[in-house]
Amino acid sequence: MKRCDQYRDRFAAYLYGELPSAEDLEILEHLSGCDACTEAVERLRNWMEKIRQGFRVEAPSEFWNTYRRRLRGRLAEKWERKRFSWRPALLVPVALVLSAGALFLLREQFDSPRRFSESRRQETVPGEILDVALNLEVLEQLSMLERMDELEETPGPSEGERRTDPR
Amino acid sequence: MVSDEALLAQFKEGDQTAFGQLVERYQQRAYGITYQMLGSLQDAEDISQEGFIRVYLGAESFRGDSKFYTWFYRILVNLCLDFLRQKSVRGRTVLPFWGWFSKKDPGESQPEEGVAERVHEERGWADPERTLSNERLRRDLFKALSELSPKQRAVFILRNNHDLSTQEIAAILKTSEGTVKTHLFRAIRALRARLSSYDEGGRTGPEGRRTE
Repeated sequence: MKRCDQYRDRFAAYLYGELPSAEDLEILEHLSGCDACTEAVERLRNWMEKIRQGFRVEAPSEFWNTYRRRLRGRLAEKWERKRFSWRPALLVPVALVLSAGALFLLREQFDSPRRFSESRRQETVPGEILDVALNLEVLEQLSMLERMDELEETPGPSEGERRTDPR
Repeated sequence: MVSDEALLAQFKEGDQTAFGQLVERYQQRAYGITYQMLGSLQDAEDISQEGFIRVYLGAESFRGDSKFYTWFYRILVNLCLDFLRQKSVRGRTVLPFWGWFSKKDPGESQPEEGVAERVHEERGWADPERTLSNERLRRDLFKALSELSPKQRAVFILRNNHDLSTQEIAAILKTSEGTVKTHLFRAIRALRARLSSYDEGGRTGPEGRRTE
Protein backbone atom coordinates (compact mmCIF):
# COMPACT_ATOMS: atom_id res chain seq x y z
CA MET A 1 0.00 0.00 0.00
CA LYS A 2 1.32 3.45 -0.97
CA ARG A 3 1.83 6.17 1.61
CA CYS A 4 -0.28 9.37 1.53
CA ASP A 5 2.60 11.61 0.39
CA GLN A 6 3.04 9.41 -2.68
CA TYR A 7 -0.50 10.36 -3.71
CA ARG A 8 -0.32 14.03 -2.72
CA ASP A 9 2.15 14.91 -5.48
CA ARG A 10 -0.53 13.95 -7.97
CA PHE A 11 -3.50 15.75 -6.46
CA ALA A 12 -3.16 18.78 -8.75
CA ALA A 13 -3.04 16.53 -11.82
CA TYR A 14 -5.99 14.63 -10.40
CA LEU A 15 -8.04 17.80 -9.95
CA TYR A 16 -7.13 19.00 -13.44
CA GLY A 17 -8.23 15.63 -14.83
CA GLU A 18 -4.75 15.07 -16.27
CA LEU A 19 -4.13 11.57 -14.91
CA PRO A 20 -4.56 8.38 -16.89
CA SER A 21 -7.77 6.58 -15.87
CA ALA A 22 -5.95 3.85 -13.93
CA GLU A 23 -4.14 6.40 -11.73
CA ASP A 24 -7.32 8.40 -11.41
CA LEU A 25 -9.16 5.38 -10.05
CA GLU A 26 -6.28 4.58 -7.73
CA ILE A 27 -6.42 8.05 -6.16
CA LEU A 28 -10.20 7.96 -5.91
CA GLU A 29 -9.95 4.65 -4.11
CA HIS A 30 -7.34 6.03 -1.73
CA LEU A 31 -9.43 9.13 -0.98
CA SER A 32 -12.45 7.08 -0.09
CA GLY A 33 -10.49 5.59 2.79
CA CYS A 34 -8.26 8.52 3.84
CA ASP A 35 -9.72 11.57 5.55
CA ALA A 36 -6.40 13.46 5.62
CA CYS A 37 -5.92 13.19 1.86
CA THR A 38 -9.55 14.05 1.17
CA GLU A 39 -9.01 17.19 3.24
CA ALA A 40 -5.81 17.97 1.32
CA VAL A 41 -7.55 17.54 -2.04
CA GLU A 42 -10.35 19.80 -0.93
CA ARG A 43 -7.93 22.46 0.28
CA LEU A 44 -6.15 22.38 -3.06
CA ARG A 45 -9.46 22.61 -4.95
CA ASN A 46 -10.51 25.65 -2.91
CA TRP A 47 -7.14 27.25 -3.42
CA MET A 48 -7.35 26.80 -7.20
CA GLU A 49 -10.84 28.30 -7.23
CA LYS A 50 -9.71 31.27 -5.15
CA ILE A 51 -6.92 31.96 -7.62
CA ARG A 52 -9.42 31.89 -10.46
CA GLN A 53 -11.65 34.32 -8.62
CA GLY A 54 -8.74 36.58 -7.80
CA PHE A 55 -7.93 36.91 -11.48
CA ARG A 56 -11.47 37.41 -12.65
CA VAL A 57 -12.09 40.56 -14.65
CA GLU A 58 -15.68 41.27 -15.47
CA ALA A 59 -16.46 44.44 -17.30
CA PRO A 60 -19.84 45.82 -18.41
CA SER A 61 -20.87 45.97 -22.05
CA GLU A 62 -19.92 49.70 -22.30
CA PHE A 63 -16.34 48.77 -21.65
CA TRP A 64 -16.39 46.24 -24.50
CA ASN A 65 -18.01 48.78 -26.83
CA THR A 66 -15.14 51.17 -26.12
CA TYR A 67 -12.68 48.31 -26.45
CA ARG A 68 -13.98 47.40 -29.92
CA ARG A 69 -14.09 51.06 -31.00
CA ARG A 70 -10.44 51.47 -30.04
CA LEU A 71 -9.60 48.24 -31.81
CA ARG A 72 -11.31 49.46 -34.98
CA GLY A 73 -9.28 52.68 -34.79
CA ARG A 74 -6.03 50.81 -34.40
CA LEU A 75 -6.95 48.42 -37.21
CA ALA A 76 -7.72 51.28 -39.59
CA GLU A 77 -4.38 52.87 -38.73
CA LYS A 78 -2.44 49.61 -39.22
CA TRP A 79 -4.29 48.86 -42.43
CA GLU A 80 -3.37 52.25 -43.86
CA ARG A 81 0.23 51.71 -42.83
CA LYS A 82 0.23 48.28 -44.47
CA ARG A 83 -1.33 49.68 -47.67
CA PHE A 84 1.44 52.22 -48.04
CA SER A 85 4.21 50.08 -46.69
CA TRP A 86 5.67 49.88 -50.21
CA ARG A 87 6.48 53.60 -50.11
CA PRO A 88 9.60 53.41 -47.97
CA ALA A 89 10.78 50.56 -50.20
CA LEU A 90 10.43 52.83 -53.20
CA LEU A 91 12.67 55.43 -51.57
CA VAL A 92 15.84 53.40 -52.22
CA PRO A 93 15.55 53.18 -56.03
CA VAL A 94 14.36 56.80 -56.18
CA ALA A 95 17.36 57.89 -54.11
CA LEU A 96 19.66 55.88 -56.37
CA VAL A 97 18.24 57.46 -59.53
CA LEU A 98 18.46 60.94 -58.01
CA SER A 99 22.06 60.49 -56.89
CA ALA A 100 23.02 59.08 -60.29
CA GLY A 101 21.40 62.15 -61.88
CA ALA A 102 23.19 64.47 -59.49
CA LEU A 103 26.52 62.79 -60.24
CA PHE A 104 25.90 63.12 -63.96
CA LEU A 105 25.12 66.82 -63.63
CA LEU A 106 28.19 67.42 -61.46
CA ARG A 107 30.38 65.69 -63.99
CA GLU A 108 28.86 67.77 -66.77
CA GLN A 109 29.64 70.93 -64.86
CA PHE A 110 33.18 69.78 -64.14
CA ASP A 111 33.89 68.99 -67.78
CA SER A 112 32.20 72.05 -69.26
CA PRO A 113 34.97 74.75 -68.79
CA ARG A 114 37.39 72.69 -70.85
CA ARG A 115 34.84 72.03 -73.52
CA PHE A 116 33.77 75.67 -73.42
CA SER A 117 37.27 76.99 -73.98
CA GLU A 118 37.74 74.54 -76.83
CA SER A 119 34.54 75.62 -78.47
CA ARG A 120 35.33 79.31 -77.93
CA ARG A 121 38.71 78.82 -79.55
CA GLN A 122 37.14 77.09 -82.49
CA GLU A 123 34.60 79.84 -82.86
CA THR A 124 37.02 82.88 -82.77
CA VAL A 125 40.01 81.59 -84.75
CA PRO A 126 39.32 81.30 -88.50
CA GLY A 127 39.79 77.85 -89.92
CA GLU A 128 42.65 78.70 -92.28
CA ILE A 129 44.68 80.27 -89.51
CA LEU A 130 44.01 77.35 -87.23
CA ASP A 131 45.17 74.98 -89.97
CA VAL A 132 48.29 77.02 -90.44
CA ALA A 133 48.93 77.03 -86.72
CA LEU A 134 48.44 73.33 -86.44
CA ASN A 135 50.64 72.60 -89.51
CA LEU A 136 53.24 75.18 -88.71
CA GLU A 137 56.06 72.74 -88.60
CA VAL A 138 55.13 71.24 -91.93
CA LEU A 139 54.88 74.69 -93.45
CA GLU A 140 58.28 75.66 -92.12
CA GLN A 141 59.77 72.58 -93.70
CA LEU A 142 58.01 73.43 -96.95
CA SER A 143 59.37 76.98 -96.98
CA MET A 144 62.84 75.62 -96.35
CA LEU A 145 62.46 73.40 -99.38
CA GLU A 146 61.26 76.35 -101.43
CA ARG A 147 64.29 78.35 -100.38
CA MET A 148 66.56 75.50 -101.42
CA ASP A 149 64.95 75.48 -104.86
CA GLU A 150 65.55 79.21 -105.12
CA LEU A 151 69.18 78.72 -104.19
CA GLU A 152 69.57 76.12 -106.87
CA GLU A 153 68.00 78.42 -109.47
CA THR A 154 70.27 81.40 -108.60
CA PRO A 155 73.56 81.28 -110.69
CA GLY A 156 76.56 80.80 -108.45
CA PRO A 157 80.04 82.44 -108.88
CA SER A 158 82.28 81.24 -111.86
CA GLU A 159 85.24 78.97 -111.42
CA GLY A 160 87.64 81.89 -111.96
CA GLU A 161 85.88 84.03 -109.50
CA ARG A 162 86.07 81.25 -106.92
CA ARG A 163 89.86 80.90 -107.49
CA THR A 164 90.50 84.65 -107.18
CA ASP A 165 88.75 84.53 -103.91
CA PRO A 166 91.42 85.48 -101.35
CA ARG A 167 90.27 82.62 -99.06
CA MET B 1 -23.35 28.16 -33.71
CA VAL B 2 -20.85 28.88 -36.45
CA SER B 3 -17.41 27.55 -35.58
CA ASP B 4 -14.44 29.87 -35.12
CA GLU B 5 -12.72 28.32 -38.11
CA ALA B 6 -15.78 28.90 -40.31
CA LEU B 7 -15.92 32.54 -39.18
CA LEU B 8 -12.27 32.99 -40.04
CA ALA B 9 -12.85 31.41 -43.45
CA GLN B 10 -15.73 33.84 -44.04
CA PHE B 11 -13.51 36.73 -43.01
CA LYS B 12 -10.80 35.57 -45.41
CA GLU B 13 -13.39 35.75 -48.17
CA GLY B 14 -14.02 39.39 -47.29
CA ASP B 15 -16.79 39.21 -44.69
CA GLN B 16 -15.80 41.86 -42.15
CA THR B 17 -18.70 41.03 -39.82
CA ALA B 18 -17.23 37.55 -39.33
CA PHE B 19 -14.13 39.17 -37.86
CA GLY B 20 -16.36 41.27 -35.61
CA GLN B 21 -18.02 38.11 -34.34
CA LEU B 22 -14.65 36.55 -33.57
CA VAL B 23 -13.68 39.65 -31.59
CA GLU B 24 -16.90 39.54 -29.58
CA ARG B 25 -16.41 35.85 -28.93
CA TYR B 26 -12.82 36.17 -27.74
CA GLN B 27 -12.45 39.72 -26.36
CA GLN B 28 -13.02 38.73 -22.73
CA ARG B 29 -10.72 35.71 -22.86
CA ALA B 30 -8.02 37.66 -24.70
CA TYR B 31 -8.23 40.49 -22.20
CA GLY B 32 -8.23 38.01 -19.30
CA ILE B 33 -5.14 36.12 -20.45
CA THR B 34 -3.15 39.27 -21.14
CA TYR B 35 -4.23 40.88 -17.87
CA GLN B 36 -3.24 37.81 -15.89
CA MET B 37 0.06 37.52 -17.74
CA LEU B 38 1.00 41.21 -17.49
CA GLY B 39 -0.78 42.41 -14.36
CA SER B 40 -1.79 45.72 -15.90
CA LEU B 41 -5.20 46.63 -17.29
CA GLN B 42 -3.76 49.15 -19.75
CA ASP B 43 -1.13 46.72 -21.07
CA ALA B 44 -3.82 44.02 -21.25
CA GLU B 45 -5.94 46.22 -23.48
CA ASP B 46 -3.03 47.10 -25.77
CA ILE B 47 -1.67 43.59 -26.09
CA SER B 48 -5.02 41.82 -26.48
CA GLN B 49 -5.97 44.29 -29.22
CA GLU B 50 -2.61 43.70 -30.85
CA GLY B 51 -3.54 40.00 -30.87
CA PHE B 52 -6.74 40.75 -32.79
CA ILE B 53 -4.81 43.00 -35.18
CA ARG B 54 -2.41 40.11 -35.89
CA VAL B 55 -5.39 37.88 -36.66
CA TYR B 56 -6.86 40.53 -38.96
CA LEU B 57 -3.67 41.18 -40.89
CA GLY B 58 -2.39 37.61 -40.84
CA ALA B 59 -5.59 35.61 -41.36
CA GLU B 60 -4.15 34.22 -44.59
CA SER B 61 -1.38 32.50 -42.65
CA PHE B 62 -3.90 30.41 -40.71
CA ARG B 63 -3.84 27.10 -42.58
CA GLY B 64 -6.57 25.46 -40.57
CA ASP B 65 -4.51 22.49 -39.36
CA SER B 66 -5.20 23.52 -35.74
CA LYS B 67 -8.10 25.06 -33.90
CA PHE B 68 -8.53 28.82 -34.21
CA TYR B 69 -8.21 29.35 -30.46
CA THR B 70 -4.89 27.43 -30.37
CA TRP B 71 -3.54 29.78 -33.02
CA PHE B 72 -5.01 32.88 -31.39
CA TYR B 73 -3.83 31.99 -27.88
CA ARG B 74 -0.36 31.31 -29.28
CA ILE B 75 -0.35 34.83 -30.75
CA LEU B 76 -1.46 36.27 -27.40
CA VAL B 77 0.99 34.30 -25.27
CA ASN B 78 3.88 35.14 -27.60
CA LEU B 79 2.96 38.82 -27.50
CA CYS B 80 2.89 38.68 -23.69
CA LEU B 81 6.22 36.83 -23.51
CA ASP B 82 7.81 39.37 -25.89
CA PHE B 83 6.35 42.23 -23.88
CA LEU B 84 7.70 40.81 -20.60
CA ARG B 85 11.10 40.18 -22.20
CA GLN B 86 11.29 43.75 -23.48
CA LYS B 87 10.26 45.08 -20.09
CA SER B 88 12.88 43.06 -18.29
CA VAL B 89 15.50 44.16 -20.84
CA ARG B 90 14.57 47.75 -20.17
CA GLY B 91 15.00 46.99 -16.48
CA ARG B 92 11.51 47.99 -15.56
CA THR B 93 9.27 46.19 -13.12
CA VAL B 94 7.91 43.10 -14.80
CA LEU B 95 4.49 43.29 -13.20
CA PRO B 96 3.30 46.81 -12.47
CA PHE B 97 1.01 45.58 -9.72
CA TRP B 98 3.93 43.96 -7.99
CA GLY B 99 5.83 47.23 -8.13
CA TRP B 100 2.88 49.23 -6.97
CA PHE B 101 2.25 47.16 -3.92
CA SER B 102 5.72 45.92 -3.10
CA LYS B 103 7.07 47.17 0.20
CA LYS B 104 10.55 45.78 -0.43
CA ASP B 105 12.07 49.06 -1.45
CA PRO B 106 10.85 51.90 0.74
CA GLY B 107 12.75 54.38 -1.41
CA GLU B 108 10.44 53.77 -4.33
CA SER B 109 7.22 55.67 -4.50
CA GLN B 110 4.39 53.38 -3.51
CA PRO B 111 0.89 54.05 -4.69
CA GLU B 112 -1.68 53.80 -2.01
CA GLU B 113 -3.81 50.72 -1.52
CA GLY B 114 -6.85 50.33 -3.75
CA VAL B 115 -5.17 51.39 -6.99
CA ALA B 116 -6.43 48.30 -8.80
CA GLU B 117 -9.96 49.10 -7.81
CA ARG B 118 -9.58 52.75 -8.82
CA VAL B 119 -8.35 51.68 -12.24
CA HIS B 120 -11.55 49.69 -12.60
CA GLU B 121 -13.61 52.69 -11.55
CA GLU B 122 -11.80 55.07 -13.88
CA ARG B 123 -12.72 52.78 -16.70
CA GLY B 124 -16.34 53.08 -15.75
CA TRP B 125 -16.83 49.70 -14.19
CA ALA B 126 -16.49 48.35 -10.73
CA ASP B 127 -14.92 45.09 -9.75
CA PRO B 128 -17.82 42.73 -8.99
CA GLU B 129 -15.98 41.46 -5.95
CA ARG B 130 -14.67 44.74 -4.73
CA THR B 131 -13.72 43.87 -1.23
CA LEU B 132 -10.59 44.47 0.75
CA SER B 133 -9.82 40.76 0.87
CA ASN B 134 -10.18 40.52 -2.90
CA GLU B 135 -7.81 43.40 -3.41
CA ARG B 136 -5.31 41.77 -1.10
CA LEU B 137 -5.67 38.47 -2.93
CA ARG B 138 -5.06 40.10 -6.30
CA ARG B 139 -2.05 41.96 -4.96
CA ASP B 140 -0.58 38.79 -3.48
CA LEU B 141 -1.39 36.83 -6.61
CA PHE B 142 0.43 39.16 -8.95
CA LYS B 143 3.34 39.37 -6.60
CA ALA B 144 3.58 35.58 -6.45
CA LEU B 145 3.14 35.28 -10.21
CA SER B 146 5.91 37.77 -10.88
CA GLU B 147 8.31 35.39 -9.19
CA LEU B 148 7.51 32.60 -11.66
CA SER B 149 9.22 32.33 -15.01
CA PRO B 150 7.06 33.77 -17.84
CA LYS B 151 6.50 30.27 -19.27
CA GLN B 152 5.45 28.84 -15.91
CA ARG B 153 3.10 31.76 -15.54
CA ALA B 154 1.61 31.19 -18.99
CA VAL B 155 1.12 27.47 -18.36
CA PHE B 156 -0.50 28.03 -14.98
CA ILE B 157 -2.85 30.75 -16.24
CA LEU B 158 -3.95 28.78 -19.29
CA ARG B 159 -4.52 25.63 -17.25
CA ASN B 160 -5.97 26.99 -14.04
CA ASN B 161 -7.85 30.05 -15.23
CA HIS B 162 -8.80 29.13 -18.79
CA ASP B 163 -9.32 25.38 -18.53
CA LEU B 164 -7.04 24.43 -21.38
CA SER B 165 -5.64 20.90 -21.27
CA THR B 166 -1.89 20.32 -21.04
CA GLN B 167 -2.09 18.94 -24.58
CA GLU B 168 -3.63 22.19 -25.84
CA ILE B 169 -1.10 24.27 -23.91
CA ALA B 170 1.71 22.20 -25.41
CA ALA B 171 0.34 23.01 -28.87
CA ILE B 172 0.09 26.71 -28.01
CA LEU B 173 3.61 26.93 -26.61
CA LYS B 174 4.98 24.54 -29.25
CA THR B 175 6.51 22.28 -26.63
CA SER B 176 5.96 18.79 -25.25
CA GLU B 177 3.20 17.83 -22.86
CA GLY B 178 5.84 16.67 -20.39
CA THR B 179 7.43 20.13 -20.33
CA VAL B 180 4.02 21.72 -19.80
CA LYS B 181 3.29 19.41 -16.87
CA THR B 182 6.68 20.17 -15.34
CA HIS B 183 6.04 23.91 -15.64
CA LEU B 184 2.52 23.52 -14.27
CA PHE B 185 3.34 21.51 -11.18
CA ARG B 186 6.38 23.64 -10.36
CA ALA B 187 4.21 26.73 -10.68
CA ILE B 188 1.53 25.26 -8.40
CA ARG B 189 4.10 24.25 -5.81
CA ALA B 190 5.71 27.71 -5.85
CA LEU B 191 2.39 29.55 -5.77
CA ARG B 192 1.00 27.42 -2.96
CA ALA B 193 4.11 28.06 -0.92
CA ARG B 194 3.79 31.81 -1.47
CA LEU B 195 0.03 31.93 -1.08
CA SER B 196 -0.25 29.54 1.82
CA SER B 197 -2.53 31.92 3.71
CA TYR B 198 -5.22 31.26 1.09
CA ASP B 199 -4.82 27.52 1.48
CA GLU B 200 -7.81 26.97 3.68
CA GLY B 201 -9.61 23.75 4.40
CA GLY B 202 -13.07 22.69 3.47
CA ARG B 203 -14.63 19.37 3.21
CA THR B 204 -16.87 18.56 0.32
CA GLY B 205 -15.16 15.32 -0.67
CA PRO B 206 -13.27 14.35 -3.81
CA GLU B 207 -16.46 14.73 -5.86
CA GLY B 208 -15.77 18.47 -5.71
CA ARG B 209 -13.21 18.05 -8.50
CA ARG B 210 -13.61 20.50 -11.30
CA THR B 211 -15.39 19.01 -14.28
CA GLU B 212 -13.70 19.53 -17.64
